Amino acid sequence: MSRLPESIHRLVEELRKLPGVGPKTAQRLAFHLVVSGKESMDRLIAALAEARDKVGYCSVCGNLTDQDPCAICEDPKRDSSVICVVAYPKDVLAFERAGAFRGLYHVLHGYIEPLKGIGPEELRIQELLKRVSSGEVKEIILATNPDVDGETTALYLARALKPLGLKVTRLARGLPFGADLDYADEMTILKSLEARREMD
Amino acid sequence: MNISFLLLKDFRNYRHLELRLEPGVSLFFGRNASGKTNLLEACYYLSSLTSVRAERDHDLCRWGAKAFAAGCRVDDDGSSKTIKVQVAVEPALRRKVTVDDVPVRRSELIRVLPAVYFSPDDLYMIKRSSASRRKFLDSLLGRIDPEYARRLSRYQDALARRNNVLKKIRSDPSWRRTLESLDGILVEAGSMVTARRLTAMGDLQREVSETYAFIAGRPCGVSYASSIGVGEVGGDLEDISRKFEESLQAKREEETARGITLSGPHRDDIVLTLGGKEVRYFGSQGEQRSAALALKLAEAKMLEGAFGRKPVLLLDDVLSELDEYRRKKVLSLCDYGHQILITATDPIEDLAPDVTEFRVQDGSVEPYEGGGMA
Repeated sequence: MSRLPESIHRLVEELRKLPGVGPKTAQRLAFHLVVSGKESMDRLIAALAEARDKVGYCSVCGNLTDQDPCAICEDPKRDSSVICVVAYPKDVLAFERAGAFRGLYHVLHGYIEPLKGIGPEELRIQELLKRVSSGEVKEIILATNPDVDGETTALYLARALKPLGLKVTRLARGLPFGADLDYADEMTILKSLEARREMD
Repeated sequence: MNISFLLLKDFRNYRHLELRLEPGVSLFFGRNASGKTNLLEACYYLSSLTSVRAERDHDLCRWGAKAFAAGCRVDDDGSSKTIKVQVAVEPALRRKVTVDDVPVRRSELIRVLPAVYFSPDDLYMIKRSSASRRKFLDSLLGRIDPEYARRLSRYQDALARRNNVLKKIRSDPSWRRTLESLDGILVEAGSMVTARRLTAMGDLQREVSETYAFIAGRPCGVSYASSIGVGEVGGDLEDISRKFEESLQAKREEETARGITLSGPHRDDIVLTLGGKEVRYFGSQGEQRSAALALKLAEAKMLEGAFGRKPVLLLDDVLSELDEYRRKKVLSLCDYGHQILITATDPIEDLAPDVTEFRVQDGSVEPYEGGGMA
């Protein structure tokens, strides 16, 4: 095949823009779609259109949702006195998969990243401060990555939230499950020692 | 301890090399670009998985090959261990590192094969800015203590961000609060880096003074010049953190004006002195060379202290820079159990009593019996 038909070429180019998709994968996906038949392609098109029209950000927590406020914010069984602050919608998913957290979330949509010029104003921090000012919230859990940008963001939030008289906590850092103590680095051991708990 | 066998496959200009090595001094001579340095580079790579010249592993691969391998047998006190490193550079970089066929981490290699690389550029450590001396100390501590390398890299991450924020504050003061958050991380990581350096300085002072005296016949002073004004040796973490914070506070105005962080381990220096005068500014050419050599020999002693083995000394084209007396001094180290591998452009007569000489030519290495026979 010397040249792709123009329409397939356009499809390949669009698919390539997706994360984790290189030129070869894009081509394979495009061929697969084209030969999969009209019906299956229609379903994909409908799904894309629906996502485009219905999915947006929750006006309360900032998570991805197809209703506003989102199902979690609307759930009366969830504890509205605790808010877990995360950077991205995918982090909410991680917590929900684990299933243990019964409070609400707040998605910042990023970290403070000075190297990329992203400052606190670009994050949903004002929205968070507004949410806690209602007085219903008693505890904020900062669930950011332990790298420098994540910690900067956590420290920034802690400084902003503490004066409001809230309990501000952060996720414990320590040994990962399934890990060998022998192989853990010193910093991890140090931090998990600091955050040790009495056995009950 | 010594390397008794070296194996290279598609490493630099060596398609396939198997080389038997003796304890003591080995000299590799040959023309420029024949592959002498590549041999020393391979030995250092087997000790550290880093190259003294190349930025990336790709550059170590023979032109046209997609993978390379290096291996060696290290004999120590009657027992021996085999290091093997296999690296595929295409389609993606993949490294397999084993000791006696058991996969190991990079930091395990130096325990089997501690090595110190000497090059004519070592002189820059004495002559040039503080950055080259910090690099010396950071590289040494990073090899002795992998945790140090992690802390340093965290500090450098925080530092890059902080400098960026300092520049932004000038046009947008709202960044000020981000700066305060970054300060916390900078101080935490920076204090740990400083504390570890100060602990090491005690050993380094003693070793440099001794090795300088060994080469030049008199002691040399070494001190740590801290940008936050902490004491020379020891110093507890809390004390360092507090001084670091105070220093940041005191220089805040100037930092915002200039857009850079003015205190912290990235501004510290190691100062070498002879008779109270700084070698960098007042030392003669010869004294500066001796000081550079003393630092590298001190590195060997520090590695020996950490791993309990005498490091292999890799002398890349440095003998030509030394006078007769210092050359003899350095080579005499083989009597103390160091294996010494040397490169030079020509065979050297009367180098040392038991030198094994090799002629290097276009990616092949042959034992050389010449010299006296001709």
